Amino acid sequence: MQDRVSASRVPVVTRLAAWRRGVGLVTGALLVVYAWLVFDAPVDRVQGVIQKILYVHPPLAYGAYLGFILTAIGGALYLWRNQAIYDQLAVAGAEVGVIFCTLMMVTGPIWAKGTWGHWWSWDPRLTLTLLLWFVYLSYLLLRSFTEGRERTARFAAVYGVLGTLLIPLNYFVIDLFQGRAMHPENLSSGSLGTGMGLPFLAGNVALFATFAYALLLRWEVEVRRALWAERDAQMIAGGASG
Amino acid sequence: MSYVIAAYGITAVALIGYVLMLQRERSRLDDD
Repeated sequence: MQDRVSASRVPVVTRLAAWRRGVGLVTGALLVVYAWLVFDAPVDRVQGVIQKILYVHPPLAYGAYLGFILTAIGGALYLWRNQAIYDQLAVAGAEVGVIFCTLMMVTGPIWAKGTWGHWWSWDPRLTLTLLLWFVYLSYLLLRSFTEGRERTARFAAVYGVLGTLLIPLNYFVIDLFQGRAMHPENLSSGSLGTGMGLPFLAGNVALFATFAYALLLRWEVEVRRALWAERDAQMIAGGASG
Repeated sequence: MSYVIAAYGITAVALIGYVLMLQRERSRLDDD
C-alpha cells in the first residue's frame, strides 16, 4: 500500500513512455513490411486466398496468450513484492490480452465460414478459447468494479495466476483429442507451404511489436491514473486537515 | 477475398481504435 502513495513512479512513467516511443517507431515499419508480405504471399492451392487469414489469426492468439501470461507474472510479482507497478502490469496485460483474444475470436469464425461453411463449432479448441476469453473478461470486470483496492488487487493476482492454467490446455487440447477436433492442428516445422513462412514470421513479429506498444501504452495509462488518484487523495486529506 | 478483407480490416480498425483511445486517455492524464 505504501507504494501506492509513492512519488517514485514519475520516473517509471518517463521510462515507459521512452520505451513506447521506440517500440512505436519499429512497429510502424514492421506493419508496412508485414502488409506487403501478406499481399505478396502465394495463394494456397486448397483453400484459396482465404488461407491468408493464417498470417493474422495465430499471431493474435499468441498475443492473447502473452497478455494473460504477463497478467500472471505481474500478479505473482505483486503478491511477492507488494508494489503497485506489478499490479498495473497485470491489468495492462489482461486488457491487451482480451483485445487480442477478441480479435482472434473474430478472425477465426471469418476463416471458418469461408472454409467449413459455418461461423462456429463447439470444437474443444473453440470452446476453451471462449472460456479463456470469459475468464479474463471477468478479471477486467472485477478490476473495473472495485478500482484501487489492495484486497482486490491481491484477489485478482491469484485469479490471474490460476487463469494461466487454461493456456497450455487451450494450446494442446487438439493433441489431446487426437484428430477428432475440427480446428486444424497446431503449426509445426514444415507445415507451411512454400513462400508462406516469411509472411507468417512477419505477422508474428509485427503483431508482437503492436502488442508491446499497446501494452506499454496501457501500462503507462494505468500508472498515470494511480498517480492522479493519489494526488487527489492527498488534496482531499490536505483539505480535511486544513 | 471479402473474408480476408473483413479479417484484416476488423483487426486493423480495432487495434488502431484501441491505441488511439489509449493515447487520448494518456494525453488527458498528462494535461490534467
